[in-house]
Amino acid sequence: MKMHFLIYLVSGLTFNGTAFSDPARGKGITLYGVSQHSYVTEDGPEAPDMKIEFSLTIAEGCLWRLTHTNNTYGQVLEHSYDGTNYYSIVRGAGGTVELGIAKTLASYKDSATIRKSFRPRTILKAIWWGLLSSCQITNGNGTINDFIFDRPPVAIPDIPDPYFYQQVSDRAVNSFGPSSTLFYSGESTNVNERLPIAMFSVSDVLTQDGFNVPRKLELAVFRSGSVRQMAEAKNYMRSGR
Amino acid sequence: MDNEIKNLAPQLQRSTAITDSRLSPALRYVSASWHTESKLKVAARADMASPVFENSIPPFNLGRSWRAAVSKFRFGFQEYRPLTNKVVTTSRQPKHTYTRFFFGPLLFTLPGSSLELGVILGIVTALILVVFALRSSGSRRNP
Repeated sequence: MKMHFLIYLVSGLTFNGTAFSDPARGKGITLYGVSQHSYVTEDGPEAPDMKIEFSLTIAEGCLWRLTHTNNTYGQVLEHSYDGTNYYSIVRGAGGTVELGIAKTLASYKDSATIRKSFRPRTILKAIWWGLLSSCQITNGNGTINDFIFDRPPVAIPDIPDPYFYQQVSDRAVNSFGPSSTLFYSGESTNVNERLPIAMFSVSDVLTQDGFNVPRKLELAVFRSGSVRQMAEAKNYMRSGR
Repeated sequence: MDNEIKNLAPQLQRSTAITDSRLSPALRYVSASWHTESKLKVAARADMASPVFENSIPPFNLGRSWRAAVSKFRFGFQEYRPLTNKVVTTSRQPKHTYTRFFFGPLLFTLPGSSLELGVILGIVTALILVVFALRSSGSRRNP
């Protein structure tokens, strides 16, 4: 089997001196970084499948805005949360649509969505778990559906896979999310006899204006929870690359 | 921008197709600004919004099935069977088919043509034979 595990890595997180405090947005920060995901085999990590630069603004009350470029199509994507709904917009994704029973044709230049929930995919996963998940996940332990593996985009009704997660929060390491998380397949809370199917960790803390943000966020996803893959992943993470 | 949408929401700059899941089913409309829910309902009543079904799956009841994604599967279609929660991919006939039709006593086989063409040719052949038969019987009655 070629793939030993899949790694979502966010690195080089920096403030660039943009912590803010104003009446419109409240108190918060804007972070910049690079997010990528790649496969790790017995020969070491492969070249990243996808690599993006992003900016993330986080404000009090779980408000946030994430902007990044889709390096496949060169489009700019923006996602945000206003405390109630999630907004996403793809600039430059234009076309024509039929509206209403009368099928009135309307042309558009950009595409957008408003949703009640937000599911991070591929390169956004580590960003979401490290810096945005606290808006939805308030407990240290719990069950979450289908947040680890990406499903193929086929028209099958979503039958989510449940994952039990166990989080550790250390505000001295991460002001906005967990310092580490272990994921187990299924809903059972008994983790003594099981190996995690994925693990999230943070490192290299950066402190500014009272905020602690890790420079590196890492989500390692194993194909199956095997002892060998776990050992390899730990060695890989310890090596520091 | 509407007041209920906070400053961190991305600004719309030009006409944008918006898929809005705040109502059920989700609605799609084109606008240069985010709609509030009340404004969205007004747009729906004015026939300026269309319902959108997530993942293009229409609503279904138990026992109903739908067929989708014909264009993605050149030689077949996918069918979702809600009772068993399975998607069945059905293949069509192979691309190279042969059509047979009768022309009088002869059996013709045309490679690569469709079944419908064979039926039409068969009917035309039968009509020609009927016309010939009528003519020949008429000429026998009136020598």
